[in-house]
Amino acid sequence: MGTTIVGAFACCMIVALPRAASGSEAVSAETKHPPTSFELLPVAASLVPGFLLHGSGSFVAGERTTAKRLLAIEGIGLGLAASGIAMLAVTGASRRFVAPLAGMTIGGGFAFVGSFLADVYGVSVPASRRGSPPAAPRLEAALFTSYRYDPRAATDAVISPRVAATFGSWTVGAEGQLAPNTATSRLRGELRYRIWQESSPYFGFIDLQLAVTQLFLAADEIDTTSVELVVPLRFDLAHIGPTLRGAFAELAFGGLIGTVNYDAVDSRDTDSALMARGTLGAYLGEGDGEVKLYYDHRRDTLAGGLLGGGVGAGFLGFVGASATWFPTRHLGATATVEVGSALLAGVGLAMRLGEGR
Amino acid sequence: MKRAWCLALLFVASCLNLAEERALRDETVGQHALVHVDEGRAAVRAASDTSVTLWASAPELEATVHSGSLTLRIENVLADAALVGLEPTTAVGERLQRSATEYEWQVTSSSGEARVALRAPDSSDVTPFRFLMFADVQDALDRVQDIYDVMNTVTDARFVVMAGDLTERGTEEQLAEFRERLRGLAIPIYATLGNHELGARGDPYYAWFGRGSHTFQFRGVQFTFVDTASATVATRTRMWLDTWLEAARELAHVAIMHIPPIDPVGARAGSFSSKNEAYVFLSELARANVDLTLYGHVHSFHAFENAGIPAFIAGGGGALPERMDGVGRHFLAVDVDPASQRFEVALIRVD
Repeated sequence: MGTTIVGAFACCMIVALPRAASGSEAVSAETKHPPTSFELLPVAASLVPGFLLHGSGSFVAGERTTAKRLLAIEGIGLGLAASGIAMLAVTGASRRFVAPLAGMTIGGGFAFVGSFLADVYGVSVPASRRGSPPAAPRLEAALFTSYRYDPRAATDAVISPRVAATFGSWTVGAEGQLAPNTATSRLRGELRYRIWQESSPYFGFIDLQLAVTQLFLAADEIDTTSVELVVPLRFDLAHIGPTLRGAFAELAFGGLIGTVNYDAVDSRDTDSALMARGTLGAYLGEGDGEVKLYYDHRRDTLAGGLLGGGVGAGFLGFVGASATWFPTRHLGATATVEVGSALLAGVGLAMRLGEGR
Repeated sequence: MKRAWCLALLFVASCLNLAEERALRDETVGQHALVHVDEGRAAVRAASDTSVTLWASAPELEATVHSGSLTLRIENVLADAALVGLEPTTAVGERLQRSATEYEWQVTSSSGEARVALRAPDSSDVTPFRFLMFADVQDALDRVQDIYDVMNTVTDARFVVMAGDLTERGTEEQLAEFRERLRGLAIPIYATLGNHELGARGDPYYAWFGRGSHTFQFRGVQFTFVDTASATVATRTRMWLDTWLEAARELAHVAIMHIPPIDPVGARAGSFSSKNEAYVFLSELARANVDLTLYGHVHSFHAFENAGIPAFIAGGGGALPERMDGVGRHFLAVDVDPASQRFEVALIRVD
């Protein structure tokens, strides 16, 4: 199912990018197109009327092709999201179709929001601030501490170690989230295989990711084990227009199955979930890091899912922002904020060594 | 800039506390200058100097009337229920029937303050009995009489419990229509609210049908309604729940709520916003020996287990149905044996 949606997204991109600039055209164009300084009018236009007409900022800046493509992506996103919602309504969220239809709605919503944010980025970040993707290090590690606020649980500090190693097309990683106040721990191991990668002047990829997650809610004698299979795809936004150089979009779709053990009552349930995540990001410096904004449809992390008011209650995952920056070759800093039914905000240290790919 | 950050943090904090305000609303139910209903087991629908109208959200209730003489009208009452005075100074007049579930009494007190109780004759009988359950009428109010007609034919059903989404948006007009159409149902209905009751400013649900989270005991069975309309349970509600669960540990216990903690169809995720919260919540119910969980929200029928507790989703009240599930409009008939704490659940199709 995940690959189908990734494929559908790729098709949308192809439709939205008729005869997208070839590599050489783009390189020659991008060197002159990103704004050299902050210009107020395009930025204002990217917000109003850009909030409704995505690409307005690029249009005012003279980037007509980029503007048209962003508007097309907005339209496609809106169409996908509206169609997904309509079909969910028509089928009554039928168990037979809900996974692809929810995926379609989320993908469409992401394209809709992403085209707006991409336009703002394209006209507000001057050329001197545009970054380029970092080379994949052989070994990455991070240790950060977060503050977790959840009105329904004790406030907690979360310690999160993370490590990943890359060998050619393979990446193996592990991470933990340890919250001592609430006796909560979440351990995750993942294996990624790079199916396809696009290199200079653009950077993109399609991965296949297998992950196993264990959650322990020790105070309540609950533990869960889940296995997820996800297809993450990164798309270089410079494909859309040279003013978007240094930005990327990431989509990931897949599924999860798992078990939940209630040890106190000696009971076990099975569980499943749709995995869907949309990320919009930008590189920092010459491979010095990246910042990301994302929506993740999962609700089994410490952030939970967004609480909707009114009739829209439930159904949503969480939103987040993260930044990783390496001021030196090997050592850097990382920060994350995630908001779902709980708020999770943290900072930490990051390390990278060698070249893995 | 600092002010903007503070406002942003306050906004996020308020978003994380969505259900808390409704828990506070729960505490105001049944409180009026003329009448105080213990534990909010009735909403004060109307009041004047000489009369008060209550909507009962439990088969039995106790109340204090702050008047020397008052006409007390109670809606949503068992046909064989009686109002009795709890103090020698309180006198209760003859029962006048206004409809199948509406009765009126004249209450007088020589002290100017009367204590009264609505009592069901079989409340301490612990032999098996039957109740019905449904949810999710929403925009199908004009067809709900079809369901009531079938419910009226089920023999020996004492009352109906409803797991939310009475109406499409929860407006005054829609709630009034729901109330009006209930005149076609021969037995009382005890409900909690659903997410579709949250579409109107001021949440008028409370004034019409009482608390979102409440509990009562009837014939040896504890019925606990939990407000999960925001896909979470408020902290204040969790504290009440701790007390309710502990008090009913030895009883047959059924928990009724709108949004299920876990949707058996994971990809649909019509469930709590946080799975971790859902697991902990279910674990609490299971450890307190809750015997049955009943849910709405999903417009279909599911029978499954959560944390070892039998669970049923019965969202067949007429709202946009799940297609290709082989189930149309429906409700559940639940036979309970309080002595053995056994529940038998039957699906009754309306279409």
